[in-house]
Amino acid sequence: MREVVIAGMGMHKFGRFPNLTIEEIGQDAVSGALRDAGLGWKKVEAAFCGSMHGGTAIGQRVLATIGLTGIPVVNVETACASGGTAVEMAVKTVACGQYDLVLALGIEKAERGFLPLNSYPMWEHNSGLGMPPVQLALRATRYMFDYGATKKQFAKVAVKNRKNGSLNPNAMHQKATTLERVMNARLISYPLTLLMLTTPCEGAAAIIVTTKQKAAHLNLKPITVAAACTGVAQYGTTFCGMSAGFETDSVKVSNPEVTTVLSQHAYEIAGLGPRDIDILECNDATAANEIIMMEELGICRPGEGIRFVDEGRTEIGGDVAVNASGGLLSMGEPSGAVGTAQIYEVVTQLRGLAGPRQVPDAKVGMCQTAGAGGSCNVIILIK
Amino acid sequence: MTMNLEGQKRQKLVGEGLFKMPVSSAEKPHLIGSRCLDCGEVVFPRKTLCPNCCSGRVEESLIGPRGKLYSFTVIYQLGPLGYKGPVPYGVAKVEMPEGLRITGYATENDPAKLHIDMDMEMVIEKLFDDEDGTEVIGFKFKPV
Repeated sequence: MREVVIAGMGMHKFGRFPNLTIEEIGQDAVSGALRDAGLGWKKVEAAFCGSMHGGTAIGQRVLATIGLTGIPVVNVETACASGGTAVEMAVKTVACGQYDLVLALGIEKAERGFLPLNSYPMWEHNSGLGMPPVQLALRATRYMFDYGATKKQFAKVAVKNRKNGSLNPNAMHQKATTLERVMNARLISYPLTLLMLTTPCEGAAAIIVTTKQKAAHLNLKPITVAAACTGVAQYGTTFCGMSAGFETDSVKVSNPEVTTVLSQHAYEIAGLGPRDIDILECNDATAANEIIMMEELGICRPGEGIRFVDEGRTEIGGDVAVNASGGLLSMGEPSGAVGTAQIYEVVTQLRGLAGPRQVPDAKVGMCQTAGAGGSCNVIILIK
Repeated sequence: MTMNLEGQKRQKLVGEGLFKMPVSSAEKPHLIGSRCLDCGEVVFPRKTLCPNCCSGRVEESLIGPRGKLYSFTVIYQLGPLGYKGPVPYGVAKVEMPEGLRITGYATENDPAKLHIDMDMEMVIEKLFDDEDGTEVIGFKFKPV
């Protein structure tokens, strides 16, 4: 297996763009990645496009605006993990020697309101169960019971991420907020208020990967993809089948959560552990979920996440900067684009180009995406 | 408003094969799941293959109606497309003695009145009236 590095990246900021087509948003991100890499489109040998609602031939439609060079274009859908899965696909096809230069694009254009997932069976829709954030809110309520977590601690995560996002020109919400505002905001799905939830929106991020050898001629010191792991939650986990018509959990069978399985595998491949992570971009679709994901990734023990939050250990400058980009809470959530945007943030940080958002001395970054149906990706990047 | 010949409102089930209606008032309703004859896991709704061990030796298994509240939420804004019931509405995740936790509509929508581990019972009731006045019947979890 060959060592894979990031050759270049580009991003169209997240938000709402009623005057732009999805193809235009994607073209912007891909052009940016080619510019960053100092390469022409003709050099790219294959492309994977992650999108949840982009529709038929989304990758082909976007890339036709760049050039119809006849390369393979494969569309990848794992709900909100689509972008991460597109990156994993690109990385492994380079690692195994099939291609030398591959694009991973993540892209979404979204409606207002709750994410319109069509993964639920009709009876769940009609019973009021068929939508996020129902299952995420159920997890938050249970987490409060299991570990004594409070709404205030969830609110602290939202305040941190909004503060980070206010320093990120690519974020949808670029205004910091206060604990009071978050706690007193409209309740959407108990115990979560509006400001503890992400906003479905639009955007794209494109990542180009190549081999370390091929990158030797590039100006920038390329960032290494130390591990890229993908999987789906198995039976006997909280996350299995989530938002995909399999919301029953087993009481007797208890398997490790997919996030834990993949992160352990990734740490092993990369030859490091959770203590080595300087920056973590993980799924904060709800403020509670960031804490739960941190724990599943081994950053801290189950139930310890709230103490990390209280002690400011997940701030930029803390033990591990969690969602220095502002996370989904501040960036918004264009589902398919999340995975590639996480890479964009971590690479920006590892290159030392994050400006006021810069994590001091960032050397190792981790990206985790999770999607309906139980999909998950964990990717580790090293400077 | 749609009426049948006896002058009663027309009803339809929110989904097929989810629950067994009691025949008499003395009988309790049940959810219809499936149990694996090889590993014993019970799932809902019923499946033809076991998601735990992949066995094809699976039989129908009745669940409930009693269980304990494992978690809950209350939705305060528009439900999903297709849901025409009241807002806010509660959702309960209930741990059933058959060894699974089921997510279902809750009859209680005040979070202050829902406590984890409280006894819950599955009931079959109207969820809402459809556009043509047909009653849509589903299962709900109700505090005992």
